[in-house]
Amino acid sequence: MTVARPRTLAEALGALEATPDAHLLAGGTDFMVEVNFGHRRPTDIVALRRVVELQGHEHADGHVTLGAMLTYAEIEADLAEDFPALAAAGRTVGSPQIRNAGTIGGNVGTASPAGDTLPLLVALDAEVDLAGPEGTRTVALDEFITGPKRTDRRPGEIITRVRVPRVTGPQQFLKIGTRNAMVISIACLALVLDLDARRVRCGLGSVGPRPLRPRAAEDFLSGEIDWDGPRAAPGAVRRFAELVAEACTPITDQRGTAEYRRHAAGVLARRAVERSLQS
Amino acid sequence: MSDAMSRPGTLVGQRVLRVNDGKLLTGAGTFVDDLHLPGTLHAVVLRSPIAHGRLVAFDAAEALTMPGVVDVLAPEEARDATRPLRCVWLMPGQGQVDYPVVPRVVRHVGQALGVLLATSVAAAEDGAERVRMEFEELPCVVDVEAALGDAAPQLDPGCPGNVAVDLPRGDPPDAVEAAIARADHVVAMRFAIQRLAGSPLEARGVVASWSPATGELTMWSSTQVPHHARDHLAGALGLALDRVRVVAPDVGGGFGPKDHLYADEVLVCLAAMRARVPVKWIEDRREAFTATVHGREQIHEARLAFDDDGRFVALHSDVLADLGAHPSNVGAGPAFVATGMLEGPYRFDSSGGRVRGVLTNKTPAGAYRGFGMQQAAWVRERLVDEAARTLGADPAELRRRNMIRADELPYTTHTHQNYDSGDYAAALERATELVGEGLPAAPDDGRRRGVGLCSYVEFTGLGPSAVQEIVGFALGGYETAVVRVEPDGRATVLTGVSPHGQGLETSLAQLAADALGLPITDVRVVHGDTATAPYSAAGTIASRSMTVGGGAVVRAAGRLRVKILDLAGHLLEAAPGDLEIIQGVVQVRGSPTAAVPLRTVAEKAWLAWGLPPGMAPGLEEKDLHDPQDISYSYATHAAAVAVDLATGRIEIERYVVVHDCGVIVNPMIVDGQTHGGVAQGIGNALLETLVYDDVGQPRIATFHDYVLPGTGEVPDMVVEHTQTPSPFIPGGMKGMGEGGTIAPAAAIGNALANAVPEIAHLVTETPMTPARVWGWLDAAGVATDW
Ligand SMILES: Cc1cc2nc3c(=O)[nH]c(=O)nc-3n(C[C@H](O)[C@H](O)[C@H](O)COP(=O)(O)OP(=O)(O)OC[C@H]3O[C@@H](n4cnc5c(N)ncnc54)[C@H](O)[C@@H]3O)c2cc1C
Repeated sequence: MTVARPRTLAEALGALEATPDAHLLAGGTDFMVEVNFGHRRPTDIVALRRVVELQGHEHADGHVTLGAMLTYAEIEADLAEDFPALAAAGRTVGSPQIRNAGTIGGNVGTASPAGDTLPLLVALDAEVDLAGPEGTRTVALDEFITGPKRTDRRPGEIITRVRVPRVTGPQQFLKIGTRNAMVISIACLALVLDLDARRVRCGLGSVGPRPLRPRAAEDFLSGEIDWDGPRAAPGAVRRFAELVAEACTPITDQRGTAEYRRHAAGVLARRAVERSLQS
Repeated sequence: MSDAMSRPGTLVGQRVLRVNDGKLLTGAGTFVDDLHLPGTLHAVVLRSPIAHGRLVAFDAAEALTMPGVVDVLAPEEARDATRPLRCVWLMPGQGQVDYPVVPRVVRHVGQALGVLLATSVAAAEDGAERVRMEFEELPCVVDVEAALGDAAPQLDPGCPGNVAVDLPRGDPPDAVEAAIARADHVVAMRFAIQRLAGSPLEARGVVASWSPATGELTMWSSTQVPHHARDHLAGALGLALDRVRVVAPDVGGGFGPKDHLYADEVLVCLAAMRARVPVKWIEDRREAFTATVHGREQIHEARLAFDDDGRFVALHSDVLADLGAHPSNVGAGPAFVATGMLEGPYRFDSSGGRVRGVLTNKTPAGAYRGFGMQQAAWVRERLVDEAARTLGADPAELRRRNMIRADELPYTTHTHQNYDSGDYAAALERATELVGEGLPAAPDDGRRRGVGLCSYVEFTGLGPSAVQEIVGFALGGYETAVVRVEPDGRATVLTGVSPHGQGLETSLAQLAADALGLPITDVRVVHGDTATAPYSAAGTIASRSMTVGGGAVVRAAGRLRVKILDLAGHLLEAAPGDLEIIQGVVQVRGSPTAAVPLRTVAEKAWLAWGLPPGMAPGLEEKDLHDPQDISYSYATHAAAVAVDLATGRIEIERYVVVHDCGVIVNPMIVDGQTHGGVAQGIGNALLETLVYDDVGQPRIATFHDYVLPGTGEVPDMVVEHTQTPSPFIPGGMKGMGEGGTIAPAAAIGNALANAVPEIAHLVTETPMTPARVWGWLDAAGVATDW
């Protein structure tokens, strides 16, 4: 097995070109589990830990770009003001050890339906910057994730940054698991009240093959909210929750039944709206 | 007991810090995986990937060409070289009494078939992937009720209908039925308790080393029972007992499953004998989920009959125990104990049950902390609360009315338990008081709130050997201790019990230190090596180490004290009865100038100079303790919960334990064991479960999905003790290692039913996960939606 430890993006892309079947290694908190279980047999690895272009975060015009190697610990420490719901999602991931190692690039790269950062990122219409042999491109995250653990990443490509639009207004991230912490979501939800655009934005996790945008629910509640409050009638909030539940396409597995997941998504939707309107 | 033996010491009852924590906390412990013998090869156990089938082809040729691969022990070879492993607890009429080290027909995913050895773990794992095994698959059965059906595949010729054991318990069935028929009311419910994994921090592991020159096999093993493992290892391999040594080094927890020798451990030893170099095998966590015995899974069809005035008339449970692929060493034992302890602290006119142990294509079920008593508590205490609901009575009051009173003890139950001593109602009273005291005013957050109780009596300190003979548990129930004052005046205690995290190195030392008048730092407890430890058939299981093993230490140390005083009296020209030992100095009571250091006494004893006529040299005593009878600890737990009607999540807002385990040697350790037990019980109650699909594949085999309790689920708890000494144990202790685990599910389930009475009839299954509780709320029409 070869392990390349590039320091720059160019070196990383070069290493990928030299070993086209190489696996990318970020924090390894998903990857090493798969290796452990024999689901993956890496012969070559390109480790991204040192690649400078993938580090940190930057404020740009109307958005923040998050380096693919940004860890959950860094998100909690540095981004709680820009994206409180992302920081909240980060705080629920694994244990401190996992949060010190696990990265946002890895969460996107794995594209698990249970990826906890993904609901907020899709809700905010985040985009993914990729660099590859043919140059760079930017894709909407919603399109980049094509199915459970499936992405539109092309051979030789590296996720470099995630661009997240800054939106004014309250944000919530809520998650249900069997245990209170250190647990994979049975259902999770991110909600943003975009006060400038007067739009409700919502993302759902663990209730479909990929993170979902319940657009009908968003449209409905956007029209019902009195944005000058903001306020909403209890009936409207309930209807929103119902529409969110309807948008779910969950499965039954050992963590929860489809029925419970759908119901839980509705409960989280109601609670998220209520909390957002209170704040 | 002589006067010297009963003299009150200074350490018993003290929160003495654990003597071996420094080592463990600094990572300096020596667990099996920390052993590095020169030339060690690494083993991977080859296991069945299917639940039921005949192995028809095995081909390791390609594996043997892989780099680093040294040897493959094939199933046929292993079968030829081994004898079956005996089941240790045999119930009358048990249809299967042993199991082969390597079967011809596999009965569960993970069953061991062979071993591959290589120069590294990685090479061994790579090699194992190239071993080709072909099976002729057979239909399998994973559900215990389905296993009883006519269409079910039959797993063992000795167990027609897959029933390995079928036993009546307690009063004759017609007597129980007649009593039930007489009663004004009957609550009948079906309870299902899930399958669980003991989940010690350290999984199993073995280092095996064979000396061709001496014909001696040494196995270092992460076990609770070194002597038991040695006996069975010698039996399986056809070796003389004097040629087999088993060492339990530091062991990172057991919780029951490490109570016997496993087939894969035999295979690793066999591989080491063939390789003639040491072999190491460390069970990985995924492997542990299918290779190490599970616990708990039982179905109870149970009835509680009572009169209008709330008097309990009769109790009965018909139990199906899912034994898995074959009876484990304890077989249907947990169901036997579940029915044996079903009556708990209450009086009944009649009580009984039926135990059926049924085979399925799952990992065998064995011992797990609580050993049937957790199931008994869940069944009985839920029934009691439903009886209270039927009568409109207060659950605490109903319990009180039916509890065996202190002045009725000793008391014999319908399953022949001789309850010894205690005041059950006092614990109930105090727990009821405490749970109310600390409760903050409930915030108006939309959640429902409730309080639940669980009272139980616990069978501890297995056991009088005669009792074990009666119940067919082929393990001597006694313990032996050797206590020695070395020539330098320090003491060594050799014990047969095998601590693996409980703190016995400290609490046993406290007993000896008190008897010998030594500071704790001058006492060393040595255990875990069959070459040095006194024989202990049962080891550290069944909350017996402090009662049976501690009792032996009290006896041996007491005898040694007598000898010390005799010799010191001779040296000081004083009557032994006038002497006391304080901090390592023997002195005449009241006149400290007439004194001789224990060290001087020891020197004389070991030199054998100047001994009184007839006194044997040396300062060492050995004594054996076979308890006169079982000791019964007891407790009431109380839980206050908040239930989220929208998500089904239960939050424990307050948890109270009022417990009696006789004389408490070290309150810190006892509290710690209780805290840990309750935490584990909360896991059983709310989170943990093992699930199989219908072809017998485990759906849960990692800690990602086998959800253990964390700090978020385990509340601060209030633990109080009363101390009613055991009449049967020198020192007065009763067992308490398991107690904490027994009650939480029932207390929490009762609290849930109290909070949401609409679902009370549905609260019959564990774990009470948010999804399951929501299902109940939804079915009863009380789930709030969005
Ligand atoms: C104990 C434990 C608890 C966990 N709890 C949670 C949880 O609560 N919520 C949750 O969402 N997740 C959880 N996870 C999963 C995991 O921690 C996260 O998904 C994490 O974000 C993965 O990041 P990583 O840096 O470790 O990725 P890695 O494991 O290194 O990589 C993951 C995948 O992404 C690919 N990849 C990584 N970086 C890039 C890149 N720059 N470009 C292209 N592809 C890339 C890799 O090739 C790999 O396929 C948990 C994991 C563990 C072990």
